[in-house]
Amino acid sequence: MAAQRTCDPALGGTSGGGLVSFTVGTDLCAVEDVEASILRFGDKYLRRVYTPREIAECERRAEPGPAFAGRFAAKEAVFKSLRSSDPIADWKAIEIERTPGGWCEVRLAGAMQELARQRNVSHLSLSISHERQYAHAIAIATISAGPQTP
Amino acid sequence: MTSNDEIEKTIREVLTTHGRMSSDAMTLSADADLALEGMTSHATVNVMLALEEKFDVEFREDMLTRKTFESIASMRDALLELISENPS
Repeated sequence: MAAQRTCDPALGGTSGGGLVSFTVGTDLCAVEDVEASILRFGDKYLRRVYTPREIAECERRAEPGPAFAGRFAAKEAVFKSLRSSDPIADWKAIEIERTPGGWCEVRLAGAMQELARQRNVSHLSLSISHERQYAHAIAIATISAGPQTP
Repeated sequence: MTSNDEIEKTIREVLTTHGRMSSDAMTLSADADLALEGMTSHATVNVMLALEEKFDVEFREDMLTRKTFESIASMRDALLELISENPS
């Protein structure tokens, strides 16, 4: 399945000088809920929600729980920013990748990529923060007024 | 063959354990909107996985929608479909 890298600088412009608007999504996730799910359902939970790259990234951490919770919050925040009429996300179709600089980028695939295309989303910005108890994420989708970049 | 009543009872038990709702899942109307009763997205994941375990099925990707998990009745219908596709 081809993935669209929505934080690529090539997609981060302002649609050639046309009007843009923004939609915001935010989510808060309790770290203990995610840790309880990992404990209860193990790999089955991880494989249904996170991509192999996300699992590998989180499991490298000394404390994977907050990292997984941060990614879940990020997926939900991105999903909310896409303004779907269906409030259940295809979680694995929203992949969160940490850059060497420590910032996060978003890759969309499948239904989420199609939703972003329908919404004329030209760029997604994401920020994640977590403490031991909670993870929080904010996503901002830039909506171009003009035709979507293929 | 699992009856509708048995499926619904199991769904209610799973919701009690994993749904994190403010209402009592055992007495909730089968058509009640579970999101309005407080079931979060993350709780939905747990409910889905627990139902898969109980019924030895896997929700298809096209079933991962609000329609499937919006109520006890909609989950029952989805499970009936999955069970009929994979009779034990």
